[in-house]
Amino acid sequence: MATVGLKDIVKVYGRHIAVRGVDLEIQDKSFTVFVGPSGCGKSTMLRMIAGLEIISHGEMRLDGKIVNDTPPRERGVAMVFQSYALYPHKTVRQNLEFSLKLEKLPPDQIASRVNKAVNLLEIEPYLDRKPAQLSGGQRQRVAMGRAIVREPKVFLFDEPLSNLDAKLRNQMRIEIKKLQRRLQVTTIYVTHDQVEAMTLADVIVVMRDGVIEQSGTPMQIFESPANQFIAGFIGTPQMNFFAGSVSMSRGVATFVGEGFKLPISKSRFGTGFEEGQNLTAGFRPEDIVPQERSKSAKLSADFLSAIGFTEMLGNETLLFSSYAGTEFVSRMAQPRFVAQDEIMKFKFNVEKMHLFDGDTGMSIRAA
Amino acid sequence: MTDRPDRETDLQLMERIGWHQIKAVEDRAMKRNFWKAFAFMSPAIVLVCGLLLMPVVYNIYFSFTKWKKFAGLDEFAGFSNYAKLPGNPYFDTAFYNTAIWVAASVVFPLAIGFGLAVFLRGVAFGNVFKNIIFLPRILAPTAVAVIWFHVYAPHGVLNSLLALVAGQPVDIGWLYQDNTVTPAIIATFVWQSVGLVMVLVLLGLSAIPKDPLEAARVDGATNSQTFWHIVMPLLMPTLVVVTILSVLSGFTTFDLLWVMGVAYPGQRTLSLAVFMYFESFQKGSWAFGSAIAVIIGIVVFSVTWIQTVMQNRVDKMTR
Amino acid sequence: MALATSQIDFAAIEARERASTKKKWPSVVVAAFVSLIWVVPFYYMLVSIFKTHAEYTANNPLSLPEGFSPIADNAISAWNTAKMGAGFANSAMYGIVGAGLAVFFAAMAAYGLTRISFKRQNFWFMLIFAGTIFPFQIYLIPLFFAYQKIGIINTHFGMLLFYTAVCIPFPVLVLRNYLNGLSREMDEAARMDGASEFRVFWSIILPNCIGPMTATFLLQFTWIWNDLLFSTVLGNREEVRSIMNSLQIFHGSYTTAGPNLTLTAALIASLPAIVLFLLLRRHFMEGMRVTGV
Repeated sequence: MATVGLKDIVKVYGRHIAVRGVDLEIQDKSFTVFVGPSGCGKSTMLRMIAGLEIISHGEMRLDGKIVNDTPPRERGVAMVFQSYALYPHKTVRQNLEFSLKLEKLPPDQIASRVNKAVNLLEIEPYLDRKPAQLSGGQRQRVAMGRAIVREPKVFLFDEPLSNLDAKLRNQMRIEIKKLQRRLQVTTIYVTHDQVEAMTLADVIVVMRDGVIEQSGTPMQIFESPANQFIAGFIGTPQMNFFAGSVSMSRGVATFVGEGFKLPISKSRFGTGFEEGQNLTAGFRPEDIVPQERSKSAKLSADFLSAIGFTEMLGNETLLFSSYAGTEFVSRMAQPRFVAQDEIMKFKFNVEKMHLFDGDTGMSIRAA
Repeated sequence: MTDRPDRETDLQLMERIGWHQIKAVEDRAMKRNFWKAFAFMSPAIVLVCGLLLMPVVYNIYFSFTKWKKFAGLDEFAGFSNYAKLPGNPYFDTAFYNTAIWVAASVVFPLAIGFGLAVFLRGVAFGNVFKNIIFLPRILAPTAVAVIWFHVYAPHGVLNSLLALVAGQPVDIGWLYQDNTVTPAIIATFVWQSVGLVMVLVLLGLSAIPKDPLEAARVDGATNSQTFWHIVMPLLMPTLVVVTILSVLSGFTTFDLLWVMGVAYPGQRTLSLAVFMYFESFQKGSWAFGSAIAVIIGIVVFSVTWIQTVMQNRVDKMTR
Repeated sequence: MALATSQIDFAAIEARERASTKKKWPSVVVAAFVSLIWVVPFYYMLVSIFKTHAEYTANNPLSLPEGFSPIADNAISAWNTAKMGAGFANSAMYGIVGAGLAVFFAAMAAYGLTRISFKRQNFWFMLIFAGTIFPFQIYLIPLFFAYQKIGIINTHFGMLLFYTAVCIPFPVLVLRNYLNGLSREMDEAARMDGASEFRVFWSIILPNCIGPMTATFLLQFTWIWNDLLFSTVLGNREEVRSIMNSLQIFHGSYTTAGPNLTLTAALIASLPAIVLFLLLRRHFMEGMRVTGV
């Protein structure tokens, strides 16, 4: 069993509080991704779990045992660093064997573990080369191999893909996911890239300014973000936000934006609204739907707007425009050439509307 | 953006946990680290403190005693040892000679080395000449002293070369006479050290980017204008480092003076360093010798301090 | 139009430069002359070692030798009479062991100073570096008496102790600056792999410092090899003498006879430095740049 328990973890650097009271339980064999903007404390969290930073306050448990003062080597965790941190003067084989030699394992066991990792990662041709002779992707695999041979209880990844080019990044993402499925080891992964988070995680933990904003499965975070920050952080292109207020009439609330009105569903958002309350409506790009002439006879469009510019990705087109005082992005699933300044009709997909309190940014949901 | 309404502020967090608690955790870890680091530093610290720092303290202490030959270590002498110095004829001459030596050993190698560096730049076979001029640098001062002792000997190289020119035998005892001994040794020193200065200046010159020089030439500057206004300021740091190092070693030079000066009756006055050796290890005036050593230390510190101050001023001016 | 004029200008500059190198032939002559003066003492040494004493006194010091045979006698004579053998062995031992230990201890200290975070790092660094700021004269008397009292005067151990200590501060400076430039993630990876602090130092950091360590070792070895003063004061006994000490005593006692012998001895004493220089010329220059001298 390899669970990780964090209770009221605080990290202070001098006068600066980097992590302010984090509580989290990480399940055995799960793939947990810490994601958030730079400076949110995610790397600090990882390093505290690794034992590379002192925990200023709180309890950290590995498998139920408190490990606050346990040195890294006794925790049974292995880490893959952002810059791989391979030993430049040792060959790949020696890099892999180093930790096992320190554990004083018998040579045949060392050999078998190394071979297993080598086959898993397909790095056999490089065994006798030094890190300087390898490409970025190869080094990264050696770094992972170094962690795998230790057969740790927990794998820690510190933004391992940020130094790779885009194509390699996509490739390695898939490989890491497959690897974790095969090895069935608790994995904690830190990244600032929400695509990596969404695709890799069983559990996403979104952090900002040293606190956990929300933790849940990728779908949960995507469909029910706890506040406006998370809604805007997860999902690309970013969710579109429209400022507005509430207008009450006979107990029914309506969202009034700049030049448009939308009904506020009771079942989804409840009834705790006041007249004039500030609200922000959020629509993901796929939920602002361009209405095409040839589609249906009767078109019900919510608004018209002129296209600023477009990004044609081949399988879809992104339309950049503005309305109601806000710039927005709309996803066009059936791509065709769209000219600049062409006027198109758009409809809000009200069933997928998100509502946030205009002052606090907290998500509004029915109780 | 917006804050979570239920998040605690820094102050609330600190009040809840307590500053001292956190400080205590950090301090404990720092202390653990300190002892780990100390273990690594300990051989170096023990050796340096024991053999290089403690002796200084003792030396200063000795200079305030009446220690001579086998007695007097426990008798306090106040500043009397220091008071004896200015009047002592040997000391005065040694001080004077040291000043000359330091000045010469800094200026001559610098001037000649600099000149050679500029001169040899771009000359055909330049590398061969540079290597030859640098070669003396790899010999030990003692070996150099032995060789040049015989160069200056009455039947030595210099005299026979002069004899060729003068047409008759020349028999000057260069190292035996007051007025020739110091210049002679200075010449030897220059022979040995010019190479290093030259190499350092060449390194400095090659570090100067070509663009400002070419721009100046296109603008119509003459060679000497380019030199004084562009090359010199950029070369200053190198020159300053060389000067400081030269001054430091100038005060402590011993080998050359002791070996070459052995034929000179006034050997002990060749420099403060030699004088100190004679007083201590030949005459047994330990306290007096200690005082001389302290004086050398003070002079070295002052000169270095003045140099650093001047360097800062020059830096500010050239900015 | 402006473009055309500046193009012509550059061409003219180039032509001038080419012409000026040709015109520099007089400079070559001058340079050759200066180099010739520089070479004279070397020439003198080389011709003298092949002469017998009689030959030397009979002829002009700069004359060519009659044959090459006397060198064997001179060398053997210098070796035995001047006890060059003992001096050579002693200095070799002091240099290799002393400089080697010093650089190793300096690496340890630099590791402690840079790879472990603790309070007041600068203070401890300054303490070690303070070993370089005092003139040598200030060590002589205290060390002389302390050595006598402890009983390590005129011993190999005593000399080794001093040479090691005095060669520590400078490498600490160099290695500390060098280590500050090495990424710290290697250390963290090693610690996570299970290495003790010393193991991190030995297996990870040390192998990556070979360059500056070699450069400082060579510099310190040369310093120890060239030392005269401290050998004379702290280890003057025949068996313990450094090579320069032996050379100086030999020179002092034969002042009136046999420059051919003393010069041979001087050459023997200089051999290692010359050999090192020829083999490692590039390293020497590199070492000076790395150490910022």
